[in-house]
Amino acid sequence: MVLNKEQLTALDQKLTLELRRGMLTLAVLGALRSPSYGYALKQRLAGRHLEIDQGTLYPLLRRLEADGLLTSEWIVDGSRPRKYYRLSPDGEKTLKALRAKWKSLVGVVEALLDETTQGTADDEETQGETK
Amino acid sequence: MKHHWIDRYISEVARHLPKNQRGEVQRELESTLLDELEDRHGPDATEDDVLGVLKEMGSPSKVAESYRPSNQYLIGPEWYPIFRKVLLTVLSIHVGLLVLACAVSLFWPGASVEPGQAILYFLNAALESATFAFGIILLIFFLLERSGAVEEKPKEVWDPASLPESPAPGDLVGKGESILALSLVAIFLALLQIFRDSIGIPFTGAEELPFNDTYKKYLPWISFALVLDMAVYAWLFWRGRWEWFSRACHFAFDLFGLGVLFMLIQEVAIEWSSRLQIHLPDLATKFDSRQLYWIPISAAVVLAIEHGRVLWRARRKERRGISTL
Repeated sequence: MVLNKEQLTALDQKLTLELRRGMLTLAVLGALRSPSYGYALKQRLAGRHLEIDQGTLYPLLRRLEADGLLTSEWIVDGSRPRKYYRLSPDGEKTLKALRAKWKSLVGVVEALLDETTQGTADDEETQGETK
Repeated sequence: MKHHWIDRYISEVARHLPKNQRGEVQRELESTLLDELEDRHGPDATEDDVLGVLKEMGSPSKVAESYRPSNQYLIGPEWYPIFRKVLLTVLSIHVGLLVLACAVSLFWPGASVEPGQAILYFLNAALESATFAFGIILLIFFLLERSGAVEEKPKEVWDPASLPESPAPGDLVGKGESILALSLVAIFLALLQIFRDSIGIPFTGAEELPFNDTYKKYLPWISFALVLDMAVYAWLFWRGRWEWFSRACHFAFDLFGLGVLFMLIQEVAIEWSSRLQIHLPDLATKFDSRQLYWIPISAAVVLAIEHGRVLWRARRKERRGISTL
């Protein structure tokens, strides 16, 4: 089966979404080592090319808070109150553990991809010589 | 003036949220929208700018959905296929039986029922019994859903030795078997409810149906006993085998049902003589109301044989070194 351009684009979007889903939690936890409110956090992540829509970010913040990984407080900052989130002590520990796992995972997957790329190149070379 | 759109938007989001979440979400949403507006358009944002930001945010129901807890359904995806199957089977049997009953009442030799009236009567009965059966089945599956029965709690260390034993052939319960049992009990229950005004002990010449009041008094308890029975069959459908838990429940629920039947008969027996004397004084002297006790005694014997058979089978397996209870 050969996919057409639209199917490939749709599949790419779906897989990218899956790839980002788990990683976003790590990114949000990492960014909240210093306190921030929702909109500022969204802008900060967007500045690092990590676009996240509000319908994903705010429920995620509330869930992490309910899990005890974030704490929050309302601060009157400028003209209106804003809800500031920051990492809780348990959040710090979780972030540390997740970061270690993230590094290990990236290392493993990168090595695997390099190996596969090398393998494919070798195969192509062998096939060329045979011909 | 332009902020009234934000107020309206936030109120609409709140309308779709559980009460305990509303205040906090409303406050945060307002703060976010004002931040977004100020960041994009500065302090002099126009009404069009506000509407643009709200449009980008999405419909209030969609925004509210992202805040709601995920398990907001009566019957979850794990139970739904089974629920659908059971419901379809029960409703099909309901309709089939009522069509049969309607046909019998119309074509029975010597029947003088008007076809239009009979069809209307049975259509009404079909609708009533189907609604009732639907409600009962929905309730059973809702309770199963809420009990978390479907969730396999992950253990920290999984031990292959913890795998359940393969059930003996006698312990296996086929899906069709449990669906059929469930359906029959549901139909019986529905019929007891629908014909609640027509059940009693008819005496010739009696204006009212004697003992219908006694029957109605016990009907909630009879229904409760049958609902418990249905829960056992729903459980069996899911597990696919008899286990000690389902057996113990089945035994306890049967015992409960038998108790209700005994109390009903006892009350009928006490009043039997006096009512018989009113309607059939000749028969009153010949009939002993104690004979009515044969009904619960027969039911008890049937249940004792059934449960005794199960216990005997379990003991036999124990002797062979296979423990299932």
